[in-house]
Amino acid sequence: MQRSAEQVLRDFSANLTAQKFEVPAGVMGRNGAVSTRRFEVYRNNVLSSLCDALAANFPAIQQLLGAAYFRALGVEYVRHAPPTQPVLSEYGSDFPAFLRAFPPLQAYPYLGDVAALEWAWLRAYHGADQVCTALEDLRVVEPEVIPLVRFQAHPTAQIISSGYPVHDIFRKNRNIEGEGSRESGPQHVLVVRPQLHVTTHDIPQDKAFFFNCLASGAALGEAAEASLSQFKGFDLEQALAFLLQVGALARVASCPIEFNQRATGR
Amino acid sequence: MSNKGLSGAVLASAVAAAVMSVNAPTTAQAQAKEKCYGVSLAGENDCKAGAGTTCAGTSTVDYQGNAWTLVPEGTCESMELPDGRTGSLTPLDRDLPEA
Repeated sequence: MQRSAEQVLRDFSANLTAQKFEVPAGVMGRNGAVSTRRFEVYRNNVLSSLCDALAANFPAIQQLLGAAYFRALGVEYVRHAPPTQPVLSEYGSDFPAFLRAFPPLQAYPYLGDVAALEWAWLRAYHGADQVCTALEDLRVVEPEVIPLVRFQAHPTAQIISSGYPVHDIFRKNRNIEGEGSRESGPQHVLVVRPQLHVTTHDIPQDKAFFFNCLASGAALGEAAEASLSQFKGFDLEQALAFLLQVGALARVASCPIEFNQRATGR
Repeated sequence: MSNKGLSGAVLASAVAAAVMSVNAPTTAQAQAKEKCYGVSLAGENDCKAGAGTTCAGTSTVDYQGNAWTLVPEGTCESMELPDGRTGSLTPLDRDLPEA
């Protein structure tokens, strides 16, 4: 029976990554012979390019596990979560979750968090450019309405919170120079790319909480209240100065009408 | 003092102080980088962005014209290199590896 090209391609694709496979009906060499070995060349190319992509996207995980282990793990992952879109630099979104759930790696519970940080780094690298104007915006806001100001976080800014020293592990295994802070305990990492370079900052929990409040749309007053009630020593001035300095807050997104009038009147 | 523990005035002054303490424009300029072509030593060019784009460290000759390195903004074109070369903000035809 004649099969449509579409059917053949669908079979071809399904058999590329499946552990058990057969050469799809209708696929043959020029001489009409069906060759398992020749089909395996395609299988190998696909698996190996996807494993390479994974290694490029998660270099710290590869360094932690070793190249041979990472390769074997990559094959498992590709079978578990084949790409759903064609961009290799966007392949691996489920890798952190996969690592957390992978039974043989249960003794290394920090791996998933390190992978999540690597993924955040990659998203930041390829994220949208935005020039921060939050500082200039704040200068023209009337003091009375300051508590009502809402920010738009920088599109590349994200916090990865972990119960492990995930930033230290990330830096060490990406061979990034500089002093590690500590070798145990939780870390909260702010990832942001204000200009060309992705930056990562190990920050205290109260700052991370404050940023997450602002990023999720809370007004400055609400975010400050919430942070103070959660964390006794929270220093609003210092936290806000830090977020402005590193470019985590892109701009003032909304504010009562006085601000708009002044801004448009400039 | 409001029962919420944080008055508008306190908040506004903290924000004003925060804004004052950030020296963003100059800091941003100091940290600004530009892509500078033709200045990297072989194997030391920048660019590392995950799968499909990992060209970092792939230049094969010194000062390769189509390889770049991030340098502080404004310093690229004034950079002095051996034999009268200078850096460039756009790719150059000189010092290309043999095909």
